[in-house]
Amino acid sequence: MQTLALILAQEEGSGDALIRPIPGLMIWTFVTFLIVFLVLRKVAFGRIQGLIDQRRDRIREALDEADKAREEARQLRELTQQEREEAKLERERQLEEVRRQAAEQLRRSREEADQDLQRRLEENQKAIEAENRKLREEIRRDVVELTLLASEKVTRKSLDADDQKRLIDETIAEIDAEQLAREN
Amino acid sequence: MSGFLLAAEEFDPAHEFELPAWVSLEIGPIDMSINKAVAYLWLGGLVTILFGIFFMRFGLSLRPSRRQTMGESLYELLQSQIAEGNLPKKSAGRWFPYVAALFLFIWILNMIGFIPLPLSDERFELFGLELPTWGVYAATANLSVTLALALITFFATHVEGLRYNGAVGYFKSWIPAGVPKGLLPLIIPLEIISQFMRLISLSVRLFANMLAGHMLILVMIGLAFIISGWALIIALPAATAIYIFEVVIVVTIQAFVFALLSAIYIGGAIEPEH
Repeated sequence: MQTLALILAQEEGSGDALIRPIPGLMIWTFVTFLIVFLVLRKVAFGRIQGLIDQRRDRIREALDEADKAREEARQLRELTQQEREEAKLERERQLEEVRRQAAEQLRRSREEADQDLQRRLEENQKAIEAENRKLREEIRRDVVELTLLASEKVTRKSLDADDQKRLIDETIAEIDAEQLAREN
Repeated sequence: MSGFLLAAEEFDPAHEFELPAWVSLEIGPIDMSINKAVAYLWLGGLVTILFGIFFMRFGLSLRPSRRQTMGESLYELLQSQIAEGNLPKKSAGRWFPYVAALFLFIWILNMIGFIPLPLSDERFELFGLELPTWGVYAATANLSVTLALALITFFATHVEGLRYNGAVGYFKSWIPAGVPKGLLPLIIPLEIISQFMRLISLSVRLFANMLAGHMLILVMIGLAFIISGWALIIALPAATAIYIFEVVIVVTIQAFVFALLSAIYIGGAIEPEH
């Protein structure tokens, strides 16, 4: 108990000194802190803040560039896609054109072939008809000559011109040329 | 028992906080003598400057080293935890360096206070040489130091408040919104007192915490010398535990709280609605 009282007495004696402000020490504190503050602000904080700002700007620029590159890539992709679609459309258009031209060519060839065939048929028909006419003429002549020959043998005389003409006409009229042709 | 009483008479932890002059210096009526507290202040200031220069000045590059990363992390921690949200943006550039310097200065003063240094007023002889004994002392365990720092914040708060809001606007902002006029004669004195209470609370909080921590450590160390035997088994671990608790937690928290409250007070004065 005596010990405790002694310690308390000592505490009371020095207690005032602990809580009594000392103007000189306060001024030293103020001066020391002011120097620390000014030096840190000038030498340390400004420098590191500048560096942090610089890095922040660099990061922002890098992000902006990345965004820009991404946007360009997107545009390029869209452009490529668009070009691919256009190329596809162009290819389809060209194929369609080729198909159309081929069909037209085919149609034209068919028409020309038909025309050619028709022309050839007509020519053949004309040739046949001419040949028929020629044959009929030859038959008619042969018949006339045979008729004259037969008539002269039958009548035992030569026929004059008028008789020959009359006889020829009658014979020709009686001859069915068509039938002769069929028989030939 | 008598030996114990004799030892108790010789040992007084409060003696560690007495400040006899090393170099007497008087400027007018003010005693500006250099003493242990001033030496610790200078040492703390020097270490703070070297700390700032080492971590935040030399060899900085856009690709930071481990040292620079530590410096930047600390700087950004102070920015995010103390300045942002407490200091208005328009004044952050002006006052952030102040609160950051305040934190570093107090933190290093506190830390140095727990490192035994040969700056004691007591002497011992070694091979005929008279050397100072090694002891622990914190400048922030002195009310004059913490009060001076609190006064800087106090004046900064009111100067900025007046500068940004004008006298009428600033003093009006002290009155809480919606207070009936009839209560004003009661509220106004209370608000004025509360402004000065901030000064006291800011300075006494840091001073009392540091003083109490040092007192406890000194008492435990003193007990280790006074008592012997089984009591040492209790005193030494207790002293170690208190030492670690003070160094790891109290030192940082008190520096942080002082700087944070300074930012809040200054920010609140600049933008009362903040």
